[in-house]
Amino acid sequence: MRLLVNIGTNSLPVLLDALAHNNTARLDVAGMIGQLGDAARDAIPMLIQCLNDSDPGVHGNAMGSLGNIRTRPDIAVPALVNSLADPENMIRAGAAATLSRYGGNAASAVPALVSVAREDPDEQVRREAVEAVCVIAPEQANP
Amino acid sequence: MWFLVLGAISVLTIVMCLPRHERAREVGEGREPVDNLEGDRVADDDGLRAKRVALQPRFSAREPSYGGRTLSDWLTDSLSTNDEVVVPAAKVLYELGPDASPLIPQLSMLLTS
Repeated sequence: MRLLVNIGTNSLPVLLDALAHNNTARLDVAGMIGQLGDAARDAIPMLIQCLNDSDPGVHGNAMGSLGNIRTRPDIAVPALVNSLADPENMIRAGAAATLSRYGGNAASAVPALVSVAREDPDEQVRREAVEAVCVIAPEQANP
Repeated sequence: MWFLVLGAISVLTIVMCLPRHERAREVGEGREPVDNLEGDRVADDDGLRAKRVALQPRFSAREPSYGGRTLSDWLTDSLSTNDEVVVPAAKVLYELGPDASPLIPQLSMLLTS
């Protein structure tokens, strides 16, 4: 699979097919597809679908890929904001960390991140949310 | 007299056309054409050489080789259980990057299986 990623854009259809239909490979594919960077922009809708996956591993890896690709914030950021309400601590922390990678393009996520920073029961999640606000909107982190 | 002239013309026509038909048939069957005329043989050799040169890049694009072995050979090695075989193969395939694109169908099958 690493070889497919190493081949680059030409392998994207195969990776997307595996992400959609291959239950044994989708966990790894969800994480590796982001290594293609901007060349994987066509994968973003499918990666967003993976944010609803019942497997937290697929969900987490898809977030990591979104953070690597960082294009189409118009659809990726709202999906990541929804992940801030996930029952899994690891997913909420990952969503905050991924949003911070979008920088100023994730400005619409700041209210949700501030809320998480104040109210989330998990300390690690709160810390990630604070760090994300510092990156996305430093003026709100230090009024 | 006219019959003799017409007959001679017909025979000449058949004799002149026969080798070309034979050559066309041989090429169609995938055999290299054989000619008895030395001049034609030289022309054919040049033509075949040109054909081989023209075909080579197309074959290379379909199945590139690296280090004297085809991509499929390297892929097979990369699936070996022997680390001494796997490591060099993985290195070669990694270095090839996008040039390993002809392997995508095989890699897709591996991913599915």
